[in-house]
Amino acid sequence: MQAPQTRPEPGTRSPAAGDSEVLLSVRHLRTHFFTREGAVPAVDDVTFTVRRGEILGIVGESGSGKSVTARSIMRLVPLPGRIVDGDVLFRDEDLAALSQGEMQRLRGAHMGMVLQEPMTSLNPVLTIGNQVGELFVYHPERTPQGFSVRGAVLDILNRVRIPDAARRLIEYPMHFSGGMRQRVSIAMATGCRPELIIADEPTTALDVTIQAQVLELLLELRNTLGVSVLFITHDLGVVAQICDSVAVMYAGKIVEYNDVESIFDRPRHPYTRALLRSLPQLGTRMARLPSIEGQPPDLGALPPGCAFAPRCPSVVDACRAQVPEPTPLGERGGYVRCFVADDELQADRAAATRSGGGGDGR
Amino acid sequence: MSSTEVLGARRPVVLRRAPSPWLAPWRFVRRYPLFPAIIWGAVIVFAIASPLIAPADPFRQVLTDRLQPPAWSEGGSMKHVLGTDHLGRDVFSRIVYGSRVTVTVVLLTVTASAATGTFVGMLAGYFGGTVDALLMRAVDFQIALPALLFGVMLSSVLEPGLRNVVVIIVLFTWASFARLVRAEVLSLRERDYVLLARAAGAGWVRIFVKHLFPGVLNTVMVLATLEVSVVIIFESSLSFLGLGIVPPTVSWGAMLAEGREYMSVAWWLVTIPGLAIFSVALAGNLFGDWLRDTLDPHLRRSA
Amino acid sequence: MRRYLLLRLLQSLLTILLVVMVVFLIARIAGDPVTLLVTFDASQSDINRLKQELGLADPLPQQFVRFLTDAARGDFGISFRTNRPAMQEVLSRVPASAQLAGFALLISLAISIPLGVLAAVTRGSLVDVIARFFALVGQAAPNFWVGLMLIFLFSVRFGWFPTGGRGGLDHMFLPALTLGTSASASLTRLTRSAMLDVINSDFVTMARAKGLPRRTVIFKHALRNALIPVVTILGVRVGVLISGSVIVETIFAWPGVGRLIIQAINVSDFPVVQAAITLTATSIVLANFLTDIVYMFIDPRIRYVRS
Repeated sequence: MQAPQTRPEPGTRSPAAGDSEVLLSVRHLRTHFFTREGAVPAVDDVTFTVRRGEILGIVGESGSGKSVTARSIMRLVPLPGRIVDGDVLFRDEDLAALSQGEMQRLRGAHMGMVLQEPMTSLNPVLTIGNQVGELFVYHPERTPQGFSVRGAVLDILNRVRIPDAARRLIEYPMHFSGGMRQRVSIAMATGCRPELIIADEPTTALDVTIQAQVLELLLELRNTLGVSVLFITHDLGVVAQICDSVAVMYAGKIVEYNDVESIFDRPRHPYTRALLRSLPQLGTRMARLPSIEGQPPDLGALPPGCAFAPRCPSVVDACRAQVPEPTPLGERGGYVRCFVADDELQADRAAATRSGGGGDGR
Repeated sequence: MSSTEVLGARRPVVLRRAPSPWLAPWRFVRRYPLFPAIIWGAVIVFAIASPLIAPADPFRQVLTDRLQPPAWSEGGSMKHVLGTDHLGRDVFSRIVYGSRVTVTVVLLTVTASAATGTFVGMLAGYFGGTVDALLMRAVDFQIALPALLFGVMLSSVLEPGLRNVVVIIVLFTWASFARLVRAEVLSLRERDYVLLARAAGAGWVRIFVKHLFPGVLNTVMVLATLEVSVVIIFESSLSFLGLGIVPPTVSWGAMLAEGREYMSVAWWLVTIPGLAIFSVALAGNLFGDWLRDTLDPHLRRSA
Repeated sequence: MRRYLLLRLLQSLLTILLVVMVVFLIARIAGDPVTLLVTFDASQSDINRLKQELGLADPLPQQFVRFLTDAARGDFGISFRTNRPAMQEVLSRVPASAQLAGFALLISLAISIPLGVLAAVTRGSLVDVIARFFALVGQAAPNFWVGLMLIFLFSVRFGWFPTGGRGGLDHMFLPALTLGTSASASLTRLTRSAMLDVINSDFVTMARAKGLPRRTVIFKHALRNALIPVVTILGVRVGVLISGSVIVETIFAWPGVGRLIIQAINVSDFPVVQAAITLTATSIVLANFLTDIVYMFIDPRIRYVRS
């Protein structure tokens, strides 16, 4: 076991249990939007790691920067957004240093993406067969051995359980239901057996039963193909079902990052706690979902200190003065950005030493 | 919001602001309606104070002074700033007097067609059903008719002159107002305050005047401004063909038609009236875009 | 799909019928055609006899039905000027007009679609500013002025092109450019804004996330969708373009239907005016119908709707 002072920088290891190889490492990523009013920090100093086969959930309210984080990894940030700083290491390659052509070879082949809205994420004027087929036409080296383009398309459509796929190849997206379209999206994201799937709220727009089916499908693909998944959502219930580790985002920053059990059992950040409180408990009937007081902040005009301070129930003076730095959480690379949590952790550690027991410091 | 990063930078760079030097003058034009204000201001002053501004009688023929070029041209003089035509009439004075036709036609046609179209659109949108179906078929039909073609035919059988030109233009422009207003009214009539007014027993006239009209006013104003260029080009096309405003009334379109014969020796006779028509039309479009951006920043790109 | 086509065809036929009715009504406003046919010293009884013979004494609806059935057979009467059937006069001018309008349409599509696409994908660049400027200026410049300025510059000053008349490609270039200006301008503006909308859509992001090359994303995924609103407006623009030939043909002395209309109006040759206007308006309605068919090919949602 390493001594605390030689502990690596927070976030450069995945806090999830298991020790397979690191696939994706995002370090100090900053993506800003350059509007007429000035630069808006949509993603601000974000650091996390995904191992092969791991499912990482990124949780946050809309506008917290979770989707921009996802698109920054694929270098698909819409203008006027630009990645301004940080590294994205994918399979030990620095993505920011790749040319457009190299990036194109990577997209679709080694990383796939699924978007939130199944009704708009397929091209309405092209047939399903054409849209899925493109994947193999442009990545012949990643087409499964011995398959024609059509064969590969049929294979992946069967894999995502599109019934009667052979007949439906010539149909258009309008002939497909929302759940079926999302399956087609997943087929396009996974057809080339990529190492990473970025799923940007893939179940938010679906009915509950279809939601469960799609989650089931993602889990199955992880188990059979060993892909890693970056799962973006605002639904902690879904996170509990499928994720190995969780990063909670607020106003462009990761405020808490840890393995899924720790996040649910011992949340450290007041925002994480508030999110968990707003989660409807199974079996209990609530008259109304409790929601967090106040409004999410305007990214263009953030307060000087912690962005959550104005809404935080346990705010102290330090929170308003400066931005809290990440404090390591546990032994496996998690972290939290909160002065109050720092104090709590200190107190916990002191209590553990006093009682002489082997406190794990979490 | 804006276009995707289709052209990606190889290595991300730290930027302070969006890099588009070419857009700076463009943004200025879009943000401040300076050009439209100057052009329209000048034309309106010309129209109201023609006798004060025009240096000469626009009808006075001085055959010894014929085809004088503009002042800045070789052989031109300050006596005729924009030169003279084939009958020795002062071009600048004729432009000044010609603005009267432009301003009158624009004011009358745009007002009349906006009023007609707004009323028809409100009727169709508010009452729905058969009224809507009938009125909208009329709208469809007007829009399907090639305006200039039928405008030419109609003006050929009517007496030429201001009144008939206005009637013809209104006949072919009211429908676009009706279509737009109807669409707005369809959503307005479901608003709480309209429903409440209806529940309180307000008659349709009252609802039209007090509730619907204020709601569609912005849209109508934007469209009316954008319609100015359509109307000006329509009028000057008819006048150019000799079917609109005919001499002796001075109009820019007719000036162009007369000057056409002398184009090879007197370029200014075609260029100057054309430039006048073009500037007023351009000012209208710019002003309309500006008005749309200002009144409704969310609806920047439509039609 | 068949139902949609049938419906559109029916609507087109109805519009043509209404067009003929408007032509008939305008012709009646023109006053009594008999006064044009008789010498000024004809007696009232002569006039009445002539009216009876021509059916002008019948009630208006009956006259309309006769006008309509004649029109359907292409019979608009005899040209006062040439004493030939009016429709024949008009038909002899159709090839020239069709050639000019077709070429003008080609030029405007060849300018507007590439320019609009380029402007959208390089938003904020010099090309984009030029495209926006062109769209603004082109829509405000009346075509008779554009035509005369082109003649002045390229024919009178530089002598590169003939000033008018019909002949080889060099004769057609300036008039076609003039006729296409306003359509090019508005289609450029529309292509650009449609592309900007589409480029931001999820399916374009998905196409890029699949690792497709840029030109495939732009042309296969984005442009095909952006063309849907462009084609919708194209129908309207074709109508405006064809109407504009009345002016452009007159300026360039192009021997087409548009110029014939103005010539016939100037000598009060009403049968020819009626025949020409009816034919031109009908061709515009048909052009709109054709646009709808093109539209159907681009957008599968229309093809399958309610079928």
